[in-house]
Amino acid sequence: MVIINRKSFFFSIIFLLLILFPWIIEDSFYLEQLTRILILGIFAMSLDFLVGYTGIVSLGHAAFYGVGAYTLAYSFQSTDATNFWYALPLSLTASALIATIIGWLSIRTSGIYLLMITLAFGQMFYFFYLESSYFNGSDGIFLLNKPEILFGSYNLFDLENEVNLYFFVLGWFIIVFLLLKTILKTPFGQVIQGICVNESRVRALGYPTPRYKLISFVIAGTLAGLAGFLEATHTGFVTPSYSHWHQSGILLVILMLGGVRTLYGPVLGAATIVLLEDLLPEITDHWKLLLGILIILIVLFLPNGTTDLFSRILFRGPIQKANKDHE
Amino acid sequence: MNDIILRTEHLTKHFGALMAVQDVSLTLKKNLAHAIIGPNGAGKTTLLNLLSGELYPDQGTIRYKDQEITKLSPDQISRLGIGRSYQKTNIISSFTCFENCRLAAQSRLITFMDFFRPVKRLKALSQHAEKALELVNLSHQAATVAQTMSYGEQRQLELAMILATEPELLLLDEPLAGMGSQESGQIIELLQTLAKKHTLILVEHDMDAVFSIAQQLTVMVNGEILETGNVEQIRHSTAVQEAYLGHYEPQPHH
Amino acid sequence: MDTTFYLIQLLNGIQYGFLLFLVAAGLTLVFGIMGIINLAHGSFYMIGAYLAFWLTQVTGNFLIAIVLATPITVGIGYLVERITFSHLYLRGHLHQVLLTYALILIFDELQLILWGNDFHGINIPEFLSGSIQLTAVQVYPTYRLFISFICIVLAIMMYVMIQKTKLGMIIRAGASNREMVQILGIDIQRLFAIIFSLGVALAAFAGMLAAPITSVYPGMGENILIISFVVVVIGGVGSIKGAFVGAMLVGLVDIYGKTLFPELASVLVYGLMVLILLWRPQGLFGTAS
Repeated sequence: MVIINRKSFFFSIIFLLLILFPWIIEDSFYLEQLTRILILGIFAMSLDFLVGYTGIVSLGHAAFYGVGAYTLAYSFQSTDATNFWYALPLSLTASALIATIIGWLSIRTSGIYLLMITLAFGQMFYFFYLESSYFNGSDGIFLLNKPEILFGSYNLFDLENEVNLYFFVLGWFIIVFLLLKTILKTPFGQVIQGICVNESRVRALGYPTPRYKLISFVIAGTLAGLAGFLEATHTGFVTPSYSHWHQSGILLVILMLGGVRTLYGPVLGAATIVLLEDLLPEITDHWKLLLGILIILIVLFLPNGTTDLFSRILFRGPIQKANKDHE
Repeated sequence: MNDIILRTEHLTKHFGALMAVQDVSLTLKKNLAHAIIGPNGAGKTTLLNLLSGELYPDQGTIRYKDQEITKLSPDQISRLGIGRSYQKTNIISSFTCFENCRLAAQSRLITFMDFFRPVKRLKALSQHAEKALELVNLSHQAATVAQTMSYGEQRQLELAMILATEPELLLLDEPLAGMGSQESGQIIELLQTLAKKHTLILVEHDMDAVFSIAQQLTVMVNGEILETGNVEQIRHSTAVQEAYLGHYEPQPHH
Repeated sequence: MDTTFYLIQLLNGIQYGFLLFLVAAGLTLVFGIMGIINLAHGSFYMIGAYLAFWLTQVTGNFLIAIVLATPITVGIGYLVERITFSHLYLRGHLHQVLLTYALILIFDELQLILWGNDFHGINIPEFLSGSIQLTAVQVYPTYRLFISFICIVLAIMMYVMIQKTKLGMIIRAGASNREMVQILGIDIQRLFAIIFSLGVALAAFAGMLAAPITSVYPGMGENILIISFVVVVIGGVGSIKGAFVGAMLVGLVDIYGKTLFPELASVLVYGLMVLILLWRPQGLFGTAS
């Protein structure tokens, strides 16, 4: 007898709705927004893996987002077209490589110090793109076409079509979600979750924790690179602002809004931010003021994020996994 | 000669002007319970920290079996078979008892990083974890989240975690602190059993427990070793009486 | 000719370093003693600059504006600490990051509402606006020397305060060991409020001094914030001495970098940071945790 629990039932419904979305709402504006939310969701999940599950609060995650995007732009350089099978591995490899270097330098420290170092590295990339003439400085780079998913000489899945692009992004979204879920259940995932709560204990049990943290950092960085690759494909535009630290900052806000250490929470957070960025400007030009006040109120009064509210309503109780520091 | 498991030579550690551990040379025989006693601030915990790699000594060397381990990191030392418990309970508070022990067992049973097999399917891990919980009488609490348990139970859990890593040498920092008399009775019994097949280094203030578990005692005062000997020798040493035991058993005719 | 060029760059580098020191000193104190990461620190620099600009317009005199603006910024610092930070001391760094990030959004928007998007220059009093003859052909602006002079005076005052006064003793104890302060039975609430306000005032004061040179513009706080982070990382968290050495290093590398390797100027400073991290992960004067 198979018992489907409430949570997986709920997730199945959501995935079904996401798949059917282009036929439910035939409005390209909303499809566009949803694509954005999914990409931002991947980006946010990657950071949640690092912040929520490994306990490394990084303020430089946008560095990898930028590397993923700029590497795609680079793979376009010679022609107007680029082959997906070449461009994506290149983007992921570049992000992983940069994440290894930054991670190696950063995780030797912790706490505030680590925050500052990651922030500084993020800004280093921002300034590098901004000042380098090779990457066209602050004007950024236009990508005239989308990467071609070639099979022989045949374009399997034309990304110029926005519905196709949506499914392409949705596919990656599901892959990343399931990948992270799986990793968390494996021995490796158990170790990093232990590190998140009590690193010295895990180390005294015989785990070389710096190595685990570095690998977690690289996984998160590579997936952020994937998000950058998708965002660049989606918007067709790469600028230094991909790596600006405000990008990292808003990503932490997204995590907070949705609730750290849930994976799906940050996705809800991403949706909230995209919606707020649509709605608030209609109320006032100075919507960032409202956003700022909102964040402060949430930090002060809803320290576990809004997912706490959602999950209480949806799953009738606090998040099952009692991975919380205070009761 | 071969039955010596740990040997320290002239271990010294300062914190600024404070001499936490000074010129400590110890020789430990295999399968012997060795207690380190002394007043607060005598440097007992610092000594354990040096042995487990949490701190590095300013001078001196530590040899475990035939290997120098002075500069090894805590994870390397743990892998050589030295388990450590802490004065302040040190567990993964948000994991269940079972998950805590499974994580501990995993460090011995899986030597590579496994990214794809769910940990639940690894039967050997579960068996090890359950066995460890059984040893400390915590089987009934396996599914309980660690931080919701009583302090005494958390200490038992920490012991179970160390046992799950199957160490040969156990460094125990006040394992009985904060336990009720029934719980500590059980733990004393457990430690007595363990002492038959393991080497223990025990830092403990409960003298009755120390005398009932340890065969050999070292008294530390102000970072230095005052005296080392078997239980009887220490009981009757006048230097020890004056420096330390006197605080606990004031004798009116003195 | 060449040597005077380098001399002028040296003076510029030192002057920039001094300003960075003022900002970074506040930052490192707040980190070291309060254990708080304050991303909004740069906003106070900006607030200082805008206050100086506005009060110069109102009073007609830049120096009077500075004298008036400084206590205002102390008050702002005190209010911000009481309303927001004081609730966060026991929370994790994530919450501090979010809170201070929100403060940046708020301050930036308020700045836009009050003063708009334009760049503004500030007139300085006549006796400071001239130049000093270095050689027959080279001159150096008096105002830049004035900045360095004021900063030296401030740095000496800080040194004396930290080495000789009771507050300084507490700060030194707190920076190396935060628990120590609690053990000593000091009123933490008041201490934190004082330190935070002091840090804010230092950053704002640096903004006021810099305003006539850099002019006043939106987002001016952000650049200085990130560079100050680099300074603190290089110097080591909680160390005033480290902040000073770090600021001078960064100031000189930045100024010389801009003239010698214009393509790489901003990246050079981060390169310096990487080198120092490779050598000493905890920073030049930081204590290993």
